[in-house]
Formats: sequence, C-alpha cells, structure tokens
Amino acid sequence: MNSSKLIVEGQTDTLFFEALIQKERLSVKIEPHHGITKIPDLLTAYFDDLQDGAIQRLGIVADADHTTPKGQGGFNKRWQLLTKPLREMGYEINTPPSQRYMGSLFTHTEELPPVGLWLMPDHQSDGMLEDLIKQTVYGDQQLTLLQTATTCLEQLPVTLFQPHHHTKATIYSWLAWQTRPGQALVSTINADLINLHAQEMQAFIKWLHDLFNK
Amino acid sequence: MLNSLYIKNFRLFQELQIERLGRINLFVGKNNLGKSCLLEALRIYAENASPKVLAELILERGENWEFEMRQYNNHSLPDSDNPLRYLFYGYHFPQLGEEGIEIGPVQPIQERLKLHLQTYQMIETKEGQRFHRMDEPQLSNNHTLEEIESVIEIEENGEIKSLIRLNKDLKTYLTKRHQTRLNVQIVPTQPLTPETVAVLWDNINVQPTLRKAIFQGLQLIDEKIQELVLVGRNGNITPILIYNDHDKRLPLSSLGDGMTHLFHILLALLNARDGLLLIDEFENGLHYTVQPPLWNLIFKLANELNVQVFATTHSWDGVTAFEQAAQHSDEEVMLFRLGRSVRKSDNGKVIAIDYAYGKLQAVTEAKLEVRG
Repeated sequence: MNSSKLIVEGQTDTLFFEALIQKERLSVKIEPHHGITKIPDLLTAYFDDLQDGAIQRLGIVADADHTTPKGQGGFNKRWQLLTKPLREMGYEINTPPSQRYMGSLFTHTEELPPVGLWLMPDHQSDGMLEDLIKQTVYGDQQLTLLQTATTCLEQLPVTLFQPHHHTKATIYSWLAWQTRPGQALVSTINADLINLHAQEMQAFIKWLHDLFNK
Repeated sequence: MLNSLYIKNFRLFQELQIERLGRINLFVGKNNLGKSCLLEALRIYAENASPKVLAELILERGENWEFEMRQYNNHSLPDSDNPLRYLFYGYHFPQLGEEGIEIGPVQPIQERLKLHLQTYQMIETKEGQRFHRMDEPQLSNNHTLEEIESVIEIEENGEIKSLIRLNKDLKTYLTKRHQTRLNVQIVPTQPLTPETVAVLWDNINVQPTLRKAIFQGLQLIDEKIQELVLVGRNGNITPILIYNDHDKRLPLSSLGDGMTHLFHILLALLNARDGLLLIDEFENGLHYTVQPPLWNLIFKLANELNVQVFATTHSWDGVTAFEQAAQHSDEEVMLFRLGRSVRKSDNGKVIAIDYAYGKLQAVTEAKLEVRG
C-alpha cells in the first residue's frame, strides 16, 4: 500500500512526474485526474481517506493555464477552484504565495495529513508544465535547438494555435528534433534534456520533498 | 430495514455514526477496528438488548472468566469487575447517571436502545415485595430485604424494557425468553453448532423453494451436487451431499471449511426473512472465484425474502469480489471501511468510511487502491 498520492493532469504528465519521483527516490503513487474541473470531486472523495490516515500525504500538481475568453483558467481561477474544497474540509488556506516557485503546503485545523498544491509553472504565474520545462533546458546544443524552435514558430505562414499555447508548440517542435524524434515529455528527464538541478526545477523538487519526505 | 446506524459507548466504538445503509452492507477493515463488534451491536438491537443476547455475547467471547474463577473459589466479583463491563467502551461501566451504550438509528433517536447502570433494592411494601429503583422517592414504612445492588437498565424511548442484575450468574439469563425486534440470523467465524444447523434446516426443509435455493447455492462450488440431507439424531447430526452421478454421497464436512461456510451462509440467509443476516468474515474458506456468484445469489435472495445483509471481510479479494458482483446488481449495495480517525479531537476513535456514497465511479476505482 502506498499512502502518498500525487494528483496530476493526464497520462503525459503522469509519465513525467513518475520519472521525477523515481529520480528523487520518493515513494508516491501518481493519480491522473480526468480534467481539472473534476479535481474538487476527487478531493472530496480522497478526503475520506485522509480522515483515517489511509492517505498520509496528498499533493496536487495542475497547470495554472491562461485566462480563456470565458474567464476560466489562469492562476487565480485555478487557485480558487482548488483551494475552495480544501478550505471546506478544514484546511488552512492562506493567501496565494507572494513569491514565485514557492509551493503551498496546507495544514489542517484538526491535524489531518497536509495537502500540497503546485500550479505550473511557478505557482504564481499563468502557464503550464511546458513553461517549467522550457526554463530548464540545458546544454549548448539543446539551447540552440530550442532557440531555433522559437524562431521557427515566428516564421510560420499561419498560426493555428492560440497565443497562450506558444510554449507548448515550442516544446513539442523541439522534441520533434531529438535523437528519437517526437518522444513524450518524460523524455526530457530520461534523455537528460533538462537540468534537474536548475533553480526552478529544484524549487519544485523541494516542494515534493517537503510534502512527501517528512 | 435499518436506514442508518448509531452506536455509542459500545465495545470499540466511542461513537460511530453511519448515515446511510443499504440492503447489502459490507464492512472491511484491519483487525481490532470493531468489525465483529458492529455485527454484535446489530444483533443486540435486533434482539432488543435482551439479557439473553447480552449474556450470549459475553459467554461466546469467554469474557466471564473472572466470574468463573471467583465462583470456583466461592468468592463474589465486585460489580465493577462484572463481565458485562466488556460490553461498554473502554471495558468499564459508566458511573451512575452517566450515559451508557446506545444502539439504533441515527434518526429518530427515540428508537435507540440505551443501556445504563442503575442501583436497585428489594423492599417489602404493603402490596408485597418490590424491586425498587434507588433514585425514585422512598415510600415510608418500607422494609428493605436485601442490599442495594447494581443493575443494567435497558431502555427505549424513556421506557425500561428489561433489567440485568449484576449479582446473578449470566448463564441464568440464557434460557430467558424475550421479544425480538427483528428476526436476526448469524454466521459467526466459528461454524454453527450441529444443533443450530438442524433447527435452521427444519425451517428450510418444509419449504421446497427454499430447499431448492440451498441446493442451487451449493452448486456454486460443485455443480454436480444434487441435494443435501441431514442424517442422524441427538447431537450427532451430519449434513450429507448427494451427487447426480454414480450415487455418490459425501459428508459436507469432508469438502473443506469453504463448503461448510457456504452452507451456513445459505441456511442463515433463508431463515432471515424480513430480518437481518449478519456474516462475520464472509470470505472464510471461499475461493475468490466463488465469491462474486455467491454475492449475486445473496443479492437476489435477500431481495426476495426482504433480508438486510451485514457482512465483514478483511481481505481485499473479498472487496473486489463484492464490487464485481455489485456492478451487475440493482440492489442498494454499500461498502464501508472501518478506520481510526486521525482528527485531533476524535482521539483515535473508530469511524466508518463510505466508499461509494455520492462518489464518482472513476474515483471509486482509484480509491480501491487504498488498501485499508
């Protein structure tokens, strides 16, 4: 039985975080959710397991995303969506973090296990996992490729994707030009394309350890 | 049918509240979290907390050892050490006037049974001898006959239904008749006695449809079984299986614990019409492939006979089998996990966690990973 759980977004992210968790030698079960709006229901369900310690640590990683024309997405919306159920369960939710790269750890008024929240990329800005990855790409060769990908996007004859998906388009273009072209995000860890020791990634890793390794 | 359950100060339960029950209810949990206690509480409720059932529970668990030991030496046991104290949370009696055991529905609370301690005295009045409750006004010119003694009062809705005198040997209550609230049938972890089996079988034997249901159930393990008969008399009664090939006959007991357990579940279920069926450790000896079809048969028969089923399991095979069967059932099927609350103010009290109530199917799947 694994009593630590990390809720993440979808299958691609699952593979990425599983690889990261393994590198960090943490014992955590990754649970993909089925759409960010379903996380509150999922939290309600997991709440029962927090109450008798069947789950001893619970973390949530989600993309902050960008504000859509319908007014959804973006850090503040996501923060509200995810902290509301936690507050109702008795978790002490303070104001959103005042600094970038400082993940949240919520304690409970009745000492139920803590719950952690990290909204990608830096727990303050709008964006997604790909933004964090882009920040941490390293090596002259890879940086040149990444720069080329960025330039290429600017030169596209027609741009079909939304402006806020620019980073995502960049990252997947860049991944298309690797030794094994078109691998999933997890390859950035497995093929050593990103620097896990970069400050930004270390901040996230520290949050993982604070949550799961205490 | 019980729609909810409230248990207070009983055995391992400080206060347990289950807001919703189904027709079929399975409880899973580690050892020492009160799975059997929960079934005991239901039995007490169904039997109106009669002195007989309370005595049975104490004697079945061997909790009268101190009493037996003292009796052997011709000593009496102080009331505070009376074996009935094992029924109370923390294994000690409440003080006079303190709340005792409560068992019943969450609502209405008037329907809960309450057990608490009281003192009485036998007095002589003009009308004759009377067992007088000490907190009632004393009548003048009474002659006290015996010393003040401790008594457990069993109360419902402000009315005292029965009394147990602590200075009496519990065994004297075993033969006392009482009115039950609900028919209740029990499949304990230990096999039923041959005598009980014979009594239950007689009820089935006179009803061909029920007899057929037993045979059908036994065929879950071996489809060549055609019939079962009981042979012998006077405490030496043996169930014999008759097969449909080569005149084969085998004693049920020769087929292993699982077969006997299955037979006892079927017997108890078919005797539980309009009442409760309590099964402790459902999976005992049953291979996991037999469990889902057995559950399906139980769902069907429980519906036909209007039986509410409460079962316990500590195996996750048991839970998986139950979930499998439940997927194909229209019955109201509930799964609970007993666990200890980590809430600071709960002080480690046992709580019942509902797996499915109001939750998404996808979540249930993920949650089953959490092996209690």
